[in-house]
Amino acid sequence: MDRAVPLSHSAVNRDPNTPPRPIRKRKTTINLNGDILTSQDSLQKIKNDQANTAARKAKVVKRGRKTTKKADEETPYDQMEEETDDYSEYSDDA
Amino acid sequence: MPKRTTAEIKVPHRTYVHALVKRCPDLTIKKARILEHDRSQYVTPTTLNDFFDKLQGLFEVGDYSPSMICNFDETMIQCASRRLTVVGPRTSKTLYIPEQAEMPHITLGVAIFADCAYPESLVIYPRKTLPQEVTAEWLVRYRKICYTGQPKGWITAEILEKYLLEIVLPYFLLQRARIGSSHRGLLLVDGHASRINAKLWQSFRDNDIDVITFVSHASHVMQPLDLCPFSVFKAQLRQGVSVMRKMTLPERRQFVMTHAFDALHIALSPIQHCCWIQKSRSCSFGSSRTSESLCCQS
Repeated sequence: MDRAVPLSHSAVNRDPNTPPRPIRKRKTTINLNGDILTSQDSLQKIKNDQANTAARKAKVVKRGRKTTKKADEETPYDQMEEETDDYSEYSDDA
Repeated sequence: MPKRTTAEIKVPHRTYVHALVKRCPDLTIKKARILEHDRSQYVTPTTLNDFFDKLQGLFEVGDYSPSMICNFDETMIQCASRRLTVVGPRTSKTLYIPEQAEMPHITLGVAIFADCAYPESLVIYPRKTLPQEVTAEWLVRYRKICYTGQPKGWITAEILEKYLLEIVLPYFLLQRARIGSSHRGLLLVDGHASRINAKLWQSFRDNDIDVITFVSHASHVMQPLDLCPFSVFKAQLRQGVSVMRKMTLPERRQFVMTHAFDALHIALSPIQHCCWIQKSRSCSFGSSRTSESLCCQS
């Protein structure tokens, strides 16, 4: 497998000051960073993670005033009429 | 190498830029590619090599035929993006800038096999019901599209599960029945949170299909779909959009979607396949067997 082409891609960061691993932002134990998702280990990790998340959510008891939440009838697509009225941005017509 | 930063870049005046380029023959003016901060930071040779080590192991065991290698990903149907012009070295192929603000989006999910085959693509609207432009005639015209909805138009674990189990997995089984197909299959996906789904991947495992995720923030370098079909799709989508200025909103919406489906058809054509296999032959579909087979079919 020839790795030269992707490694020479102009978007690859060769700055030696950058840490070799991305800083994780996700709170779960699943990284999804080049993982083989169908391996037994990954499946077990995902199952455990889903069980832990479910248990954590079950523990949370909401205290506070009851409010009736209005059904979300309008979506961003419906609101597009006002937002995308100005189509003068289409200047790069080929 | 200069330090990468997300700080706001001061834009010089146009006359200064043109004078600078005139003075320096090594510089040229190009349209910039948009690149998110994380992508520009964390795609390093180390992370790429780690991924290739895993992929090499899978290829040695699976001996996948092109008809059993699939890549799934989503892209946004966006016609309104404005491309900025920037100055950079004449020798550089592509220049990147940070991502700009976007309008509410419609997601397009595409699965494509290495032998040019592809099942129905997925459109996720940011609404609960189909919009008015999707008529019976439309549905007949664009048969290889299936529709779903989500409040923000994003893909979720549920939508992905339904699409992969009902569309992609059966297609894998059809592909397996073809002459010369390997038994084992390979599905390449990115590391989006919707991929965390044990039930889904267990189904793929039960059907002898391996699933691997790309390294975080590296799909623009590694992913076959990003390397050609999506770039062709987006380039096609940007063409001829000035006619929308005279259209009413429903007409514009219809135009964008029709334009997008036609662009997708071009992007997934066999000619484009040859191009993306050439670009990705050293990435995901690295075996010479795969490349030769695809070139013959194309």
